[in-house]
Amino acid sequence: MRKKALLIGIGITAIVYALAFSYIFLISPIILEQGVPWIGSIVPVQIKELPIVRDIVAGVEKGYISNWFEKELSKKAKYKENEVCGECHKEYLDLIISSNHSSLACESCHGVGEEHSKLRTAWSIVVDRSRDACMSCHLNVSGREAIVTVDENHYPGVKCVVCHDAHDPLSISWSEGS
Amino acid sequence: MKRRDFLKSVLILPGLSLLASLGKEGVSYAMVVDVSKCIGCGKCVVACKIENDVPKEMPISRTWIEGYSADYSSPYSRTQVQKVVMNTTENPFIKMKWKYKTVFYVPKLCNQCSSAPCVQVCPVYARFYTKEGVVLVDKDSCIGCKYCVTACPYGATFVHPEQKVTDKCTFCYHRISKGLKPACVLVCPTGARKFGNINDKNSEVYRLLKESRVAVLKPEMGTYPRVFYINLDTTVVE
Repeated sequence: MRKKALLIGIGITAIVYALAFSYIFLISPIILEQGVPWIGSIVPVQIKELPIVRDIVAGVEKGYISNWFEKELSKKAKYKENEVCGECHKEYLDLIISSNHSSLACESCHGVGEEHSKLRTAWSIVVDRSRDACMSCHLNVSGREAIVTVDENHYPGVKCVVCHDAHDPLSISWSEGS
Repeated sequence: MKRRDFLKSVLILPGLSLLASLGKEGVSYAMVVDVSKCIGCGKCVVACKIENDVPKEMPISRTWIEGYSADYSSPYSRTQVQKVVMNTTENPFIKMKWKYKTVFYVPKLCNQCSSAPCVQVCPVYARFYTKEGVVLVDKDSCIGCKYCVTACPYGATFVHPEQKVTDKCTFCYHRISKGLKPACVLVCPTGARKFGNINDKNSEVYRLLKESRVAVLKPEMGTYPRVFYINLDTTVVE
């Protein structure tokens, strides 16, 4: 009698365990959202066609269950990468890659390229030729040992781009007239 | 059926799933920050705020820079430290008069813990791990109870003042899932931040973790972060 009760108990436990396991690892919403790489090799049925899964999918579509993961994935990247800039401005991209500023991305200085990549006008991108734009990195502030810095005594009041090309900072063009 | 056989058959399904997951190394993202390369220009903070729609003038940010100024003395516990945080688009380090002579900058962000306190405390299960190990917030489920804000040992979570839910760094999940770099990594002019897949042996992150001695923030909290720091100073305790 005791043995039979024990067997029944273990059986029920195993069923509950298997149900919980299959929910958590096979058909819970988060697994369905992300996909399981090994699911096709073990479970032959199409999970998304099971009735309970169909309900969950319908709930997501009607908004009862959050589909935030897809929303997050579908967000647009505002910062484009250098390849997008290089489609039009290849000469500047080639110049900066071979120069001392090669670790800079275009958008480090020119700001976010979301609007400019659509409009392609001069005013939709930041072209800051002021001294402060260079000094945001190159001013001699404490703790800037990693890069070359200058203090305010280095040609005070003159814009950096008069002598230095920002895309190739080591080539110095300077004459008395300018 | 004997009891032993029955128990064996019960164990088959989890065993199969374990076997299937063996030998497959998925994508596991991590960021390596070289503290000695950070110059405190603040371009990462501005880029993060633009990319992720965080209000620019408010002192909240997904990533921020802490400027430290330290005067080392012996015994070490008497070391004087001054700390200034940049978390708006305005850079306080340019006109800063530091008290002590050693100055360095530490970029901070959500550490994407492998055992995250914010995921554990969330009462509505709005926080979860993706398969790449990134901790995300489900902003539709979040009720704004701020448990995660108090639970986070790094202070990386905040309440978004416009969306009224908690917000934090997602490693720019919408960018990295398309193969782009996170915005802060893209704009960093000195390459202090590096991002990539640890399991990919050709990635820069794998090389950095192999070559250099790295540290994590607050290892005593048992959170196992995914953000590693090179040349981290021991005065950085927060």
